[in-house]
Amino acid sequence: MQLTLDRLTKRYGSKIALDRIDAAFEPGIYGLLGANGAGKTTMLRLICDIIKPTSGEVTFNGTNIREMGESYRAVIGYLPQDFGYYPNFTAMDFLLYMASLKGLNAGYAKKKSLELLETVNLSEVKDKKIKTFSGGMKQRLGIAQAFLNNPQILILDEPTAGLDPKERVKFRNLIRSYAEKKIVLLSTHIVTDVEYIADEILVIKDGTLLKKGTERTIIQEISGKVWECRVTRQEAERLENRFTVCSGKPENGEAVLRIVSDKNPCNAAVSVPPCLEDLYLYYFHGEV
Amino acid sequence: MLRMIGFEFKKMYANSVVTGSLAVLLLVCVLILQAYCFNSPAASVITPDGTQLSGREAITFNQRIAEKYSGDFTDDTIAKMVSDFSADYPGEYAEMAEGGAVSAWIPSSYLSLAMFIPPANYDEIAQNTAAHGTTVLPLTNAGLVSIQNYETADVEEPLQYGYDESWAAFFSGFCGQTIAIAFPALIVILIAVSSIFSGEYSAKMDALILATRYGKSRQITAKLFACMIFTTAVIGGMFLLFCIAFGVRYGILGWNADIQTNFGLSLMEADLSLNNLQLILFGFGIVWLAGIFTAAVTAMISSLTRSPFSSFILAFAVFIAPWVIRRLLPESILRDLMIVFPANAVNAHEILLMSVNAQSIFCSQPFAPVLYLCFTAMTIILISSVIAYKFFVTVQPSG
Repeated sequence: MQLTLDRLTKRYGSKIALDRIDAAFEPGIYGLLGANGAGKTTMLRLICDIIKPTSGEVTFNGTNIREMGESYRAVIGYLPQDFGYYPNFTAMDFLLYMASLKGLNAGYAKKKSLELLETVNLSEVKDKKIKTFSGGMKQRLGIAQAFLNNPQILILDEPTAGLDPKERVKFRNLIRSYAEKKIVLLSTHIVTDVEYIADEILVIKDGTLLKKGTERTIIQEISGKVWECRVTRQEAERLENRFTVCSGKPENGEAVLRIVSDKNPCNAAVSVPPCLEDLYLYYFHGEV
Repeated sequence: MLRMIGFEFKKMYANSVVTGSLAVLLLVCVLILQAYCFNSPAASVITPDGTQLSGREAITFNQRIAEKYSGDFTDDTIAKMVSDFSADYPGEYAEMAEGGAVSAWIPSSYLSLAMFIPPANYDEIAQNTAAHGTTVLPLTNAGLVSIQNYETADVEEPLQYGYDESWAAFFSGFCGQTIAIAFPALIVILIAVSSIFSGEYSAKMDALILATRYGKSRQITAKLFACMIFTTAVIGGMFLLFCIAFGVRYGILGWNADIQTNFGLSLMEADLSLNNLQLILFGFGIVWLAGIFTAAVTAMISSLTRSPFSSFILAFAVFIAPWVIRRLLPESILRDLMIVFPANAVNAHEILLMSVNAQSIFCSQPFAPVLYLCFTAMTIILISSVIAYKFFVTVQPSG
């Protein structure tokens, strides 16, 4: 099973949302890292066959997904970044509705919906209207619908937004257990989510694919560019204005800073091993 | 597909604006029925001895009188009616013969007899027309205007007469020229269908739907079917309520009488072979077609706009504009052609009258307005549905 992006491009007027992306995905979990507006959602929508590329193509097992149509969409599960549900539907109604759109037969849809509601801890409120749900509950319902058709390709756009830490851990475990022999694409700007579960990471900036590889491989790119130093508070303020500071904590009247920079920020700085968050800040410093 | 249609209904009925508008429609329906069915002039009559009857008694009395003349409607029938009227209600007859106002409380069968009683200056009119090279038909042996003066040329069999008041009231209340239920029913359809696609955009559900197996195909068909079924249910429901109310109140007496003898509707010259029951079904068909037309155009507008409110405003403007424009236009071809728009077409009575209007392009062509309406409406429905389908599939999802 292989999903391939071949010079995938999407323009909106003169704005290039995605620029000639080449990538191939085989079973595993892929994390898409990028700031807001980097092109992650556009890329996922193209992969989901929701929008049409300006040029290039997405192929699944060698066939263009636009030619496959329904048969391709039958094997994907998608959780959009932000969607509204139907406030007057119950959780069960919503899953049954989504199941009908996915072409599942009524009996199987009911069984699977109950099973998934149990998995996402919503079985006790299955007959409650969605308008009474908290943001986290809605997000869990969204995750459940993505799994309804047992998809071979699971596409999750900001899946952990609105989940509390316990729910996030549970979600990661769910994805991990599910991902065997399946392609999971996970878009987020929460670095720890990607760090914990992604087999490979794609870094997207301004519609272009900057990096693709394992966490270890891509953070090697900034090896020797992450520094730590203990400085006075005045000096800390000066450094914060000049460099990308990943973290800073006060300690005995001084400040311990972690800085990402191509050059040594100060005499007291020592080079330290980079992590994924450093990489994110290295590429997306100054972006929202 | 059926499950999807069911969920579309669930979404519609979960919308309080839709349920509210349905409740208002029901209320309007009750008010119209009150005016046309339960409290109509047909429910009051005065007997020859001066007794005033009302309600069921009055209806029965009127029906009994009408039954005396039911069957072939000939000059002899008219002569008998005029004779009975003059004997039973001499005062009212004298008033009618002099061209004065007649009480609405006389039996309904006699209300339109004035058209058969020659005016006092009939001889003068005959001489004038002869001077201009034309003639009027001579009076019958009974000294009355002949039915042939009014009868359409193509009707070979004698017209059938029967109790007509309830049928005229039904038709007028359902799809007549003044206040009829069809117009508000279309507004409700417009409200409900406005959100069919735009509701998905505003709920940010479009991306999720489009990523599903049937989100770009059967789901859209299901939405369009749901609109059509809803339209049929609303119009069918109103029609059924009318049938029940009129059926209970008046029964079905006179169902097989020709519409030409239904004087309350002024269809004497309509060259259409329809009886009262067929007329009612014709009205239902026209209103249903207008409803489907409205639903299809509204669905298309819904697919083009981003919120149910903007869909409704735009759809309402598109719906009402032809109605306003037509009222501002003088008699013209354009005015006649504008009958095709739903807000105008729901006036099924006017569609029938077009063929007897000498100024209309449809004059003496009784089937032309109906065929024009059907063809145009079906074309628009098809085009609107295709546009809605294409646009929802290619739309840029919200969010």
